[in-house]
Amino acid sequence: MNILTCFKIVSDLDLMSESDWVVEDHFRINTSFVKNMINPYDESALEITLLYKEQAEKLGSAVNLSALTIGSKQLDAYLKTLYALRFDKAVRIENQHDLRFSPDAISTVIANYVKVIKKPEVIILGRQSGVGDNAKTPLLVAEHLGWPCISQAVKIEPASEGLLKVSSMADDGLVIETIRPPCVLSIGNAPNSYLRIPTLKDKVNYGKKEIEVLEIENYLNQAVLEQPSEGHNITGLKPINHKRQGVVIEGSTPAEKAQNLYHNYLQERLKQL
Amino acid sequence: MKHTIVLNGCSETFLSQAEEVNGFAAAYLKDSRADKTIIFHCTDRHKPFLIANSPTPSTQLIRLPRYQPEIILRTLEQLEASSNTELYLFPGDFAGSELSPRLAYRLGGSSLIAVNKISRTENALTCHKAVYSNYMQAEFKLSERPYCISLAKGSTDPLPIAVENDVEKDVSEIDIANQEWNNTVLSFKGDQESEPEKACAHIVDYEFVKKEAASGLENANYILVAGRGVKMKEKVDKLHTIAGQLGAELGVSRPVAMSAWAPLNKLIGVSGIMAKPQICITAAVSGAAAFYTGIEKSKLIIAINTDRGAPIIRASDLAIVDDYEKVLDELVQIITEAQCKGDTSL
Amino acid sequence: MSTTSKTQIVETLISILGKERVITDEEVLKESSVDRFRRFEEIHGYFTQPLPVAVVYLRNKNEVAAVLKFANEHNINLVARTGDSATEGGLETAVENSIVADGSEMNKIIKIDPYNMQATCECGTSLQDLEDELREQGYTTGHSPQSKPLAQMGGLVATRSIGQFSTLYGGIEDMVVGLEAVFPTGEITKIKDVPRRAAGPDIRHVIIGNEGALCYITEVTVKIFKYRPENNYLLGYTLNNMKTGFEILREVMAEGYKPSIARLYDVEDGASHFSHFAEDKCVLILMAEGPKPLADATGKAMEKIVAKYVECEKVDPRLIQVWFDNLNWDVSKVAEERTEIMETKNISNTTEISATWDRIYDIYKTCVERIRNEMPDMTLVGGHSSHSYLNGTNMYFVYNYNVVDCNPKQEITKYHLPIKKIIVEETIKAGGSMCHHHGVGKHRTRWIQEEYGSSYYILETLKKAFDPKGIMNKGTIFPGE
Repeated sequence: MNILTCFKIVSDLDLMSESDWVVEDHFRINTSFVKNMINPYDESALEITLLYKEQAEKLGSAVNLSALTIGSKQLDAYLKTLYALRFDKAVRIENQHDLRFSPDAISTVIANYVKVIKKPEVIILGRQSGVGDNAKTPLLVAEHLGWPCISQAVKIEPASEGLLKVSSMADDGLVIETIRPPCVLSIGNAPNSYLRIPTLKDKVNYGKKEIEVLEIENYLNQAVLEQPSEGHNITGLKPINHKRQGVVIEGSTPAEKAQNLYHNYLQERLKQL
Repeated sequence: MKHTIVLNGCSETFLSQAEEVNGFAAAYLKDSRADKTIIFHCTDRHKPFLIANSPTPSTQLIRLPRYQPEIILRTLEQLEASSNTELYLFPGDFAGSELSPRLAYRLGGSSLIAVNKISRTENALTCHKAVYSNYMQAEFKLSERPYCISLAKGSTDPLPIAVENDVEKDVSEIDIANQEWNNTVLSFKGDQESEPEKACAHIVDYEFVKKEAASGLENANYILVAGRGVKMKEKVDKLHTIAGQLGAELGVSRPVAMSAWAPLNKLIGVSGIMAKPQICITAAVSGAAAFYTGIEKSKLIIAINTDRGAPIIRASDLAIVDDYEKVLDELVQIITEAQCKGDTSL
Repeated sequence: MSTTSKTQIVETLISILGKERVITDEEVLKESSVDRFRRFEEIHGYFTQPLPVAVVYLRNKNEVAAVLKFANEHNINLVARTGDSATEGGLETAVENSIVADGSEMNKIIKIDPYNMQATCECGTSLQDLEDELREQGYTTGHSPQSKPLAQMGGLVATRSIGQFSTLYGGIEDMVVGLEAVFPTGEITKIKDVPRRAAGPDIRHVIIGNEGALCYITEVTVKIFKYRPENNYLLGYTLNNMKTGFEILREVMAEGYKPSIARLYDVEDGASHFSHFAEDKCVLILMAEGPKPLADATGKAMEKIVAKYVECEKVDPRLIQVWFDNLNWDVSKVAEERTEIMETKNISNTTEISATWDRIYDIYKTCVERIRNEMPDMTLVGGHSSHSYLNGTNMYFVYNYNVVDCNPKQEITKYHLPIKKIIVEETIKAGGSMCHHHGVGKHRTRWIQEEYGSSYYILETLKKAFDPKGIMNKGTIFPGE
């Protein structure tokens, strides 16, 4: 089976301090000062992919893994790590355009890449990533390809005859389906949140394979790239104040304070629990 | 504007979906005309309940064997192809956020997930949503109709569906299911391979495990936390009782757990549980960093401490500077009285 | 050792302290039998050390004295503890029937004295609390170890802690003005707070760094400094060689400049902090602080020094500022670390050593090479120098590995100790010190005599003099039998 896992590298936004959230031209925010990381949902997706391969190979079926990311050369370090973890192919589609809020453009690129290489039967992606927070890419990849999509997937296991057993979260329970590929799997809050770490020896032995670098223009037309038309455009951006207020509830006696707390703040909230 | 609401009646969460969307519509769609609510459902048994809690006078029921996005999308695509609805409103749950962008794609519209506020402008819908991992609030203009949006959880207060006895509910129904749900292989009406059947040909086997009611401190919606300042085991035991009376789960800070005044599995903080309740009341907690991390994700933090300078006061939403025992005793009394009068749904 | 039964010990402790403050709950005892050194075992639910007989919470020096006296009279091992953030096994209860004597409830800030530029607090005062309180008044302790959100003053002094600004403010030994400590006989001793004295040996150093093996620290007076972060002069560079980096650090120190931060990361260790701007590069960070004219002059002079080394490329100070703002353990990361270890079976550990300028690079190079070649399953081997002195600097080795094909209980013997052995032996061979700032704990004691050489006589005599029955934190600093 051929699996393509797509991932995105994002800035660790928790490291930004309050004064770093400055909105620049074109609603850009400079996050280049903070460390990068694999988008957490994508990190789960990559680990789940590796777990799947391990299990499938134990059952004697061959699995070929590719990893794809879109962005600049800086991301190659992550792709090398994936080689060290025995991904068979690591691909980067070079891009310098601002596609933060363009999940349709991103998913078109992925779908076109898949159409060209005609290979993967299964595409695995994290459900959302923390800059655009669009949460649409996996769904739109499925739409572009006309494939079914299982969202909120949390576990993928091999089943007989090239089928996959996929567990996914529903709003009121867990769905366990046996699926015939092709399909898109969108990874939700999976129990595997960390990607395994390759040893230094594996980095030396496997991490030096050449990364396939492709041009985004071959997968998306220039006009769309210049101005991704998604049917939506960003027109405003401002920081959200997360500071707690520390409002001191006044009253001359404990009873008065408790009354005040209950009637002005608690009563309504308790109803909603 | 004309809007349509889409709800998943196959799920036990139906009522909260309906109230969530109803609250949002009441807040932001006062001038819009509600076209209808489309409700997918699996069993005729629930029909009266679904109709009664449909947020709009007009309801379109679609019966299918079970919640299956591919079938639902195929059905919606056909049903709404010639509709002139401008806005499809989905709840902020898993189903709503997977259906809305896919429907928009199929109907040639535009979509946005986790929207917390909307307003109408000429030829566009202005939507607000959190981006940058909830650090920033963005405004988007949606320009392609129909607009398909799913809501951000908790962005507006849920609003119960008003019961209007004199208004006749307009209900239409489509039934594409052949059997009751719980079958592995989906079965649809018609002899030929039907559209829905094609839509889920990839599913070979299906099993559904119902979610057990989440329990324990990790999942509690309402917690009461005892800190070092309670000073002795008997007081922690008393707080345990009070927590029960308030309907909350009891947690403790590290000094309390390490004094064995409460079991270690009640420990909140770095070396214990990371809680994420709607309401967190802390009693005699000073608010050391290692503890605070454990309650940081609470929606509302209420601190009760005699020391106005305690770090927890600044890190809370609401603070009462007083003896925690006296305040909580009063609070229990108020809530018990309210319960007797029946004016809370506790 | 002790012939007193568990029950007798507990009963006596209750008679001294009252029932509320003598804890015998098994879960609490398990948690209290280890520190971060054994966190891999602990996260996997294994507790391999003898459980203490009780954890006691002490509220004042008289209670400390009474408990110590009792332990001493009945040969009961006693482990002193405050913030519980030790990393070298110092808080492990190595022998049966130990008492863990917790001082975290002695947490009063007794006096902040801005006129005399000193602050006095009880041993259980958390450094974070003291620092927050001081900063509100425009002062700082100048002490900023990574463990700041967790560590407390007693433990910081007992382990000879050091902070990130040490090159200017010094280690904790340079900050402590006066002390109060209780010895095994129950003797309460107070060393007064004076600027300096020449009245015999400096006895503060019997207490500072004793790791609970000689006495129990109950009160600490430290210097305070004016807090002027607005004057911070932050510099960051990328470079290719650690050797160049050490040369620059040496020159800065030798020329007589006093940066507050002087740090040099190698490629591997740096990658986990700086990969977004320094791929495959070493990173050098310097910061000057203090009064503005001084900070500016120091900053500019250091810039000039670095400019002579052509391989150094200056980076945007904002990149370094972000790193600076996230220096200390973010406590939520401590919680995440547990999950990460559990899921990935990958753990990060450290060993810190020091040596003179002429030896440090060779120690660094040899250790890194040897660990890479000799140890299995390594995922990161590297380190940084973070505290520089006139005659040398430290090296903080960081090593991560995947724990595979063994029981969690074997993590220490299969990986951690063999790696530590390489570092310690290479360092001692080269004439450096095997412990720069974490203390000896319980796992470097096997090399303590080599560390001291002929001067071990002095150290050993302290133990014989102050803890002749050997009841204080058995197996720490001094090897157990």
